[in-house]
Amino acid sequence: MKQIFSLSTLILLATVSCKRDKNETALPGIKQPVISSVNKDFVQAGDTITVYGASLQQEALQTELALAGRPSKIVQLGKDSLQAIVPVNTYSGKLMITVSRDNLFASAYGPAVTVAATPVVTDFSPKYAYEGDTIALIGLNFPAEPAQNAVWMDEKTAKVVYSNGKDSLKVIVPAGANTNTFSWRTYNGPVYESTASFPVRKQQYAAATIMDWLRQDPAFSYMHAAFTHSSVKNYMRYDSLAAYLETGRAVSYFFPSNDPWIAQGILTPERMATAVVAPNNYTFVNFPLASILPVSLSPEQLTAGKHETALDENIVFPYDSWRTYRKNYVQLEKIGNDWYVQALTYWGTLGTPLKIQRVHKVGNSYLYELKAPLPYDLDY
Amino acid sequence: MKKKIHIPALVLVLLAGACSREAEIPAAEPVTYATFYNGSPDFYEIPNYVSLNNDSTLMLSYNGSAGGSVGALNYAVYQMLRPGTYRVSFSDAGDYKDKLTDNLVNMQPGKHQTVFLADSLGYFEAIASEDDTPRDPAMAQVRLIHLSPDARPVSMMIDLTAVPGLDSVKFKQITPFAKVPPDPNPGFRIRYNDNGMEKTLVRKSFALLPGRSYTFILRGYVRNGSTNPNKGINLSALITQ
Repeated sequence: MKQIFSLSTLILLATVSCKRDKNETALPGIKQPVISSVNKDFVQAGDTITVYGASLQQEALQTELALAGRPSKIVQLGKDSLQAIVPVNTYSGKLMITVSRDNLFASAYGPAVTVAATPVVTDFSPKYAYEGDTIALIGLNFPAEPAQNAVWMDEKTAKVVYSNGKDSLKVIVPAGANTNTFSWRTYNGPVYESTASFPVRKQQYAAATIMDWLRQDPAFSYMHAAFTHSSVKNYMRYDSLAAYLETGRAVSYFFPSNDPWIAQGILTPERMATAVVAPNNYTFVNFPLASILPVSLSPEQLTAGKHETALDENIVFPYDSWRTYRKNYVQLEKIGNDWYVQALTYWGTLGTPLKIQRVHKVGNSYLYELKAPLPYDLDY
Repeated sequence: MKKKIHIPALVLVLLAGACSREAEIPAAEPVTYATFYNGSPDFYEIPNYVSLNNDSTLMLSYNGSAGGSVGALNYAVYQMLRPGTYRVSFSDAGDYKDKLTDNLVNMQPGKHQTVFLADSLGYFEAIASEDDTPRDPAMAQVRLIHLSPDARPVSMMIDLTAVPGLDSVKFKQITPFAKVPPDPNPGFRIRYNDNGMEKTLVRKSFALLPGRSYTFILRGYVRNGSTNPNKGINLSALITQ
């Protein structure tokens, strides 16, 4: 009986011994890692996340962390905790820790983590603004709560006043902001910065002439495109108008800002500086030219009726006789509290009355900013 | 003099021998079968790597599988592996250690499986499918995996007949196999609903043979942002059995 018992014990021991050998050869020297908790279950791509557990760091072994199957960069590693950066372009999902040596590894899953999508800003509207104006940032993945969105313009905090929870944020251009890049972040994620600058207009520029002003004010960045066609056939272009506005003469100039052109799809912001447009390039009628009054009229001095233009001053066509019998005028009209301007030609009025939306005092001149694009017939 | 045999010692010797004999004469090991498919258009003609347990095993460019680039119809080529749980990683181009995805896939003995790399503008994800389905010698079997990130939910029709179970299939979704009659010249149509109107997104045609199973892969971008037409929407199929 005693012998049978000894025999059974030996068989059992030998069997166990064989099995233990097999287990050890599977993962020699690798302890099973464990994820016990995580410091937050809602993160933004780029966030730092802290994972707690055991056997996360083991001697001579590599530790890797993946979130929803996406490898995360570990920035701090200890036996019972690690910190890692939530990778960009990651779905929500479970954490997975792996410790490995060559092709031997031990992995463990941790809790699920919700990942907020990376916020992206692709555009803004309008294309320029004054400080205090409300502008819209167009993009992707903005949280619905305004407080979870942060925006800086020229490194100054821009108050977020509205979010539609997906692709649009409204923010107020901060006081003192200059034309510069803007940056944003959502939740506690990383800060992203635009490549393009947001043009911030100033109430006043150091400008002695209308041209000085037009060059500095981002609302008139398309002037080059318009001026290129501002002269008439066979005569010098651009320079004729630019030179006149450069002289510092006291004038009143009626000219639209960029927005009306953009709004009507005539120009895109991307083409503002390079596109060539042909606003009413009639032989004898050209609104950009014909809308200069050779006198300085403040808003209070405007009067309804027709006004002789600077074209009569031998500036543009010094040897042409047309101005003597085919004169162009600026027709001013007041409707309610608003002034409207229209080209009045030898053949009658041209286009529709254009509303004056803003006036700038420039040296001893006035620049009247129009709220509609110039009359746009292409040829005579 | 009668020699006394020490029984426990004899048992130990026998058992030790048994252990070592077991090691010397390996039994036939079970195997599992795996193949991989790169569904990321950004890897068009740019190989990335598939690694198993940190060993680089395969280079794949877009629309590539273990058997090479997948045309309209190809046989799936499987690798034989020991069954077990594998770390399956797709890497970026250039270095197999630069992982885009890192997942555990449990590969059971005798099973066939495919691991697909899905990509939506850099949102990479590995998706594993089980490819085995009971063979029906009289019928063909089809299923669909949707790997086109900007395509709406789609349905599949063969000629004018909807394939049961292959409707409203979303990005990253793999349908079960559906039995369909064999057909020497069927028209496969991937359809979608555009504001109430059913429209065809892409179509293909090749013979459906009985007893085989086909995995259709809808891939590429509907709105192809690149100038490369090969990254546009397309349909491939793998014969997985």
